[in-house]
Amino acid sequence: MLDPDFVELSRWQFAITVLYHFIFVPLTLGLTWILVIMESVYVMTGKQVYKDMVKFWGKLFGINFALGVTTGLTMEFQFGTNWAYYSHYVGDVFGAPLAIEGLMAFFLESTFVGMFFLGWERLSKRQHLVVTFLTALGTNLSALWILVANGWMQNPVGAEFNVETMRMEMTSFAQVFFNPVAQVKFIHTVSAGYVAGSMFVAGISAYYLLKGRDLGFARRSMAVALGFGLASICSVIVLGDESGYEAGEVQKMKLASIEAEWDTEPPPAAFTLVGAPDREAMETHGAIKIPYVLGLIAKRAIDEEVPGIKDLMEQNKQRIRNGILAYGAMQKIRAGNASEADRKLFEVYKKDLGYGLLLKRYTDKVVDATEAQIDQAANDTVPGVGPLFWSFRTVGPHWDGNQVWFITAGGAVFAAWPAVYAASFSGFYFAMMLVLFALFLRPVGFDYRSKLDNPQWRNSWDWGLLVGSAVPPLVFGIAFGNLFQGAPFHYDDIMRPWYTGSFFGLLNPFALLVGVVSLSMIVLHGAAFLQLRTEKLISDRAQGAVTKAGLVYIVAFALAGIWLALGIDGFEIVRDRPHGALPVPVGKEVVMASSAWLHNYRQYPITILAPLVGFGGAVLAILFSRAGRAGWAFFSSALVQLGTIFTAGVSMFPFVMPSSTNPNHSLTMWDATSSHLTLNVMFIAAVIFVPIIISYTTWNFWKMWRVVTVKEIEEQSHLAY
Amino acid sequence: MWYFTWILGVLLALSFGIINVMWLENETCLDDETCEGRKD
Repeated sequence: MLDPDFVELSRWQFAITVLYHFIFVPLTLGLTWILVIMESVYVMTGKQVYKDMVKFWGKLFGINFALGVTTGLTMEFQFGTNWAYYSHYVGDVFGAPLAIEGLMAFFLESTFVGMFFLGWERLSKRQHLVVTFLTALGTNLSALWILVANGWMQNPVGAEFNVETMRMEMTSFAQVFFNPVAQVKFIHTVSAGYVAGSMFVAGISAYYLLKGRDLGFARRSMAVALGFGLASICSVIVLGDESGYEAGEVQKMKLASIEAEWDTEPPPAAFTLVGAPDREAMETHGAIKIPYVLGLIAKRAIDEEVPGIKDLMEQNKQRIRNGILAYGAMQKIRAGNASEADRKLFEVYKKDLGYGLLLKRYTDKVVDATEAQIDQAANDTVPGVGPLFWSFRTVGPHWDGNQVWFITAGGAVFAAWPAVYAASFSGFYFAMMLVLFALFLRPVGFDYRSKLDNPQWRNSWDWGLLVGSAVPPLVFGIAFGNLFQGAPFHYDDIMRPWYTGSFFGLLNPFALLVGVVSLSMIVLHGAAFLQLRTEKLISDRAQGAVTKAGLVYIVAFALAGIWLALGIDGFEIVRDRPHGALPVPVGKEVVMASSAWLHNYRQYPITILAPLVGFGGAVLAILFSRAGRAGWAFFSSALVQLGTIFTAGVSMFPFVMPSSTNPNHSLTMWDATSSHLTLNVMFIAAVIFVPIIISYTTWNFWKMWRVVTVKEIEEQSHLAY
Repeated sequence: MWYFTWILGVLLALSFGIINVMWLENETCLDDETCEGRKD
């Protein structure tokens, strides 16, 4: 059973990250559009002062952007590390918007934000304006998709529970996307961000005006911020009303808790302005109430009642009892001895299954719950009234946008193989944390290293960048080394993943060797790229690095291969699930056997090409690099990446994450997937967006491509972000 | 259909910002060298 303190700590960790994230995000949402306004005026009037404005506010945007990216990445990790069962249970629905966010928005903003800062000299005025516009659009589309995910959490439409896979599965992508809560939340949140951005610009401009500094600059900035801000405030007001109304429709308990409305009172419902909510006594001491207002917020009416917490708890108790029935029927169905009556019972009550699962905390069997346990579980359905009540009376407009905008490097995995996402992030917890902390240093490092003209400052950030770039490939290599040996995890009866290993168990000799393979492969690629893009001095040093990294790679890759063939037991499926069966990762029979990882090479001899391409690429990279053919060296080193990754894939295929404690629970490409519909949605999204991404990243490289010279770097030392 | 409203709304808000600053540019003397003889 889970330790409640542990759950509590996980919640705190996530909450703190979210709060920290949401300091930066609203600002960037608004600032990007303000930059678009300023630059449009620059293009129209051609006045230098507008270009200065874009650059000045753009710098402040950049600082916030880097911190938003960093904290956003953290939350994405935490879905897997802190909420593994959640990711498993709803990944089929939840992963798709996150992955589409990555495809549609994150690529857009991350490509164009670089061009925004560095492209002034290389792009025409109009082209640069387009770049700024696309950065803004990308940032806002990120908000769109994460709020579609969030909206689904508030109002789960377009999905249904599947008893065989034990998770929620998408039934209609359109319903998920056009979820009324998601729509309202999206506009309300981005509008609030626009207001925040406008206030930020207006505030700093006001300070300049007071000090009498740069008056022309400050007055123009002020005018932009006030015009944009005024329109945005109107939007916040309208959508705020809509938000309250939606909450009254679909989240009655949340609304009642926010308002500390313990009892259902006869209409017109009054709004509690201040008071001291008391959870134990279930009343609010010293409440000051404003008549009619709650009715207007929640129902837009003064003659309808707004249900109170006590009544909702009674309703929830009934739903928990229904949930117990559903759970009992479900266990029979899963055990395969359900009668027709059991199936009917389950169909009737399955929407309350989640309420039944609340009892898991108090009794593992659920069906034997006592009245007292049902009361406890019903109590759990009431959120913390005090904190909610007070937070809504202090933070005002940002109340709902708690999870805007984060990035989705793992989003595709989340959408396609939610089970893998859940099991690997929670299982490899400390390794993932290590990667995360290392990744922090990158966006912040690139952005901040040139902000102060101080060699020590810059040097420290460069060390940070080194760590931030070296740790992830090393850890991913180590993680792969462990996958070959199987990870110690298994599933329980409701498909919760349980991991029984430790962090130090990951650091075994074979895994470390694979880490060396991965790191040397990445260093080789970086060195080849540097040789291609730089002049004499740096280029010569890069050439030396290509040779060294290439040799280390060849030796480590060969050793790892021999070790895998002779010393590591592979996994093999001896009895698979029937073709076309639903994706459940526990229905097959798997054995561990020596040299089983070579199975695919024996069966499909063509696959031996993968390791050969790895070795051959490395040899060619070294030779081309020494001959001064940097372009070919880079191409060869790209082959190394391809060959190595394919080698790992071919060896393990179809396993993605084998289990060493219960091989039958190993995750494969086929049985850890999302539902058919989600995979279809992802396929369509990829078909549409991947070509678009490729075309604009190509444009980016084409525009920004050149050999970097010392002179240029000295000229641009402050421009570079 | 709130998503559609957003597309229109954000364009409206952008034009508010642009019109406001262009108006200011037109009506007031912001830099000494650009407004010969005009007074603020």
